[in-house]
Amino acid sequence: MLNPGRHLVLGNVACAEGAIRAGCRFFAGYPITPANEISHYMAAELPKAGGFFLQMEDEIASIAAIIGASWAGAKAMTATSGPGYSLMQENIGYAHMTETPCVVVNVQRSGPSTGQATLPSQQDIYQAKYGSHGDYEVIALSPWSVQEMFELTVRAFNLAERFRTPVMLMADGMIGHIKEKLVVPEKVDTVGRRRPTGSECVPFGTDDPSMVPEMPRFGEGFRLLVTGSTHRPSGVRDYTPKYHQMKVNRIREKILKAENEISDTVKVDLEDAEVVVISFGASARPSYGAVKEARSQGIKAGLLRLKTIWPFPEGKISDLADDVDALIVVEMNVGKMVQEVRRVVCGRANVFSVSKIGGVLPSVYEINQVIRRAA
Amino acid sequence: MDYFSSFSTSSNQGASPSRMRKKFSPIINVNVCKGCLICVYVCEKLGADVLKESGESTAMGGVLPTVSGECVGCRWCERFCPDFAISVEEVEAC
Amino acid sequence: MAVKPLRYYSDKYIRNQPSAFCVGCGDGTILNCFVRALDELEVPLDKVLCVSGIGCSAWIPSPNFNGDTLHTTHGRALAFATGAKVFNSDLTTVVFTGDGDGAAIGGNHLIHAARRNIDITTILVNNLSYAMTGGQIAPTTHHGERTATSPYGNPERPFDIAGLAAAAGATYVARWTTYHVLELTRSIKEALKHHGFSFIEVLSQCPTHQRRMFNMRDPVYRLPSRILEMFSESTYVRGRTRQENYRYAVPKASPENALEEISNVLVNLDTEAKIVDHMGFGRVVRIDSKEPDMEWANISRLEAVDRLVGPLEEKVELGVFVKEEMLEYTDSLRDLIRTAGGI
Repeated sequence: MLNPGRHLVLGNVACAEGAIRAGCRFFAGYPITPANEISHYMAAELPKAGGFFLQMEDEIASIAAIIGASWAGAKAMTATSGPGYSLMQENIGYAHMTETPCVVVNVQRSGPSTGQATLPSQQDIYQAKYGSHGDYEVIALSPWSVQEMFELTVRAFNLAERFRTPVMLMADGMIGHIKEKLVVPEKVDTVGRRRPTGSECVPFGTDDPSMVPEMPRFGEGFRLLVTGSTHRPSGVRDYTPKYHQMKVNRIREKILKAENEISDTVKVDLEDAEVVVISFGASARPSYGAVKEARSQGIKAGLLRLKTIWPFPEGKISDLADDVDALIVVEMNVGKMVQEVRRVVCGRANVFSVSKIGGVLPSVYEINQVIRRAA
Repeated sequence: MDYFSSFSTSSNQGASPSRMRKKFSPIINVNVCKGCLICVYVCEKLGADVLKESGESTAMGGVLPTVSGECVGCRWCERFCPDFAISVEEVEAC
Repeated sequence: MAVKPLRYYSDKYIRNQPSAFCVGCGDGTILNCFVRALDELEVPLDKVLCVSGIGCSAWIPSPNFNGDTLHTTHGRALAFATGAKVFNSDLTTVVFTGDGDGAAIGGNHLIHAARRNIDITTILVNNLSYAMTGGQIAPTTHHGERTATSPYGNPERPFDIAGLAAAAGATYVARWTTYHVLELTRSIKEALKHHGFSFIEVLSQCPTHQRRMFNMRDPVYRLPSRILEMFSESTYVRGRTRQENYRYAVPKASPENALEEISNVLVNLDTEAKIVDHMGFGRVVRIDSKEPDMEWANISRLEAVDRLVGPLEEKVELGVFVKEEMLEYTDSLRDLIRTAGGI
């Protein structure tokens, strides 16, 4: 592992380092560009930390293995890209239904299908939220730098443990494959899952306001019933509407009700902004440049950068809509986050979309053009 | 000549005739028995004929077994029972 | 070892009854054999983890078994179990799967878990179809058989799943049926004790669907024992050769006519003939002869008889096919940690 201090590292390596620092002791993955360096680093470093690196036969087995390990007590992670992420969806849904803490990293590449395997995109953000069948809520984070590949992976583990849920780290091929400064802190704050206190345990139900039940482990004598079928708080299968509504509403509300705690955004020059750019991950970098250039051109522009894309920060964006004339959503897909913004803004301000595909970043110039047109 | 014949139906307590023979009685849990009659089949196959078909059908369309005759406690019916519905209890010989 | 009544096992190992299985389903018998094997090995129940996929077999442990149970997604039980076993190798990990769950959608995980030789015992219940979903073709359904998805006969050839597991590298491989309860219990015991990937295929009766598959027009309480009898008739145990002298007469049309004609021929011979169910040939006439120089040709020439087949033809071989010790996966993972200087 890296010593505390300054390093020049690859984004993917920073992600893996963050995971180990956050307490990850189990990684299962399958080779896929552009996420491979995460596996390589885990293969080399996890054993040193007494952890396990498994290369499984496919991505379905990888997500399955980390869920199994999590129920054996592990902090566990897998990393993949678009095609593997699609294969993982059924078991990601299983992790939601069984409230299994784990981290899934998607180093997004340009799709659909094999697409531009080595080039970045942000095209999978809807899949992160709606990829598996059924109703559930998702926590998804989006790093825009090597430093955040480290920090947001740590945060992903802490959120996963805190809310007993899978957490998606929506990175992309560019952030994963650039080398930048990484400052590794002396100490990393980690969070552990709620553990049973007594000899009795209700693994899928709680009166605690957090709505997050205690999580037992295999081998502790609780004689667990863990199933993807709808179940009662005790784990016993029960298909009746009452228990299904109880279960699904709780696993959704435990995240939606904690949006303030989960939501993490960065404001740049928003105080007097008339035109605000909303962006996340890699495309937030040229957005930052475009906003600064607009300021130099005398335009009151600002940037709202989403570090957490799901749950969507509706409140913040709704407030913005009252104060500004125009919002510009910059993303590397055909326009997905912009739909959410339009839904929330509801016509109270103009909403522009800078949506770039082809595996290339939107340029500062392109975004600045739209800012000037919107001002 | 069948696989079963190699397993004698003498009580597997190895009770030698001189010792007082233990008595066994199969107890059927009718709340759990689905009436698959596998135990009756096994008992017949061993030539013991202690378990028989009753006239009573079960909720799931099966037929309840009933006990008649001298059970020697070979417990083969217990090994097959899919529903843990029959239990051969030792009864003190009168 | 005191002999215990079945109530002892249900009190200690069975969570709730009655189970959700159909009348006379083989899954209940497999659960019966499994808990006896656990009991004889005195495996601490707190350390037993049963992982299962989707299908009837998945309900053997979940919710019936009174230990840790993980009921996962279809075909993926072995991958889930691998994660749990690697992270906590104290868990006696047992996977219950079916012929569809384990060898169709789960086939990839089966061959790789076997190749890795991870210390997991897999019990694959082979009921020759997808029972829970209504009796579709499975990778084990015999060619020509009628199912919900092969109304004109199954166009595919089945796997030999035990052979597949052995070829993939499993270091304990056995096949039994729900008729061979003693051997199955012993085999599960061996598998649980075995340090490496143990695989047991269990041919199991499914009265609900095998009724159509084997054309057995009987009420539900006749079928379980009739299918079990067919399993006994249609299998042989490797290494357990018996010298009886018998053949099967495959009838041209009705077995009853064939039996009648055959009985006439055998009238003063020390020979018996009866109709039996044979998995390979359907309803046939089995002829057991104690005559030293039995004239079998007389029978094959009979009008109602199509042909005579030998004692082992088209029968399923049972027994323990592989039993060897090899490097086990979780051991080698721990070796890595030592090599890397981890704790």
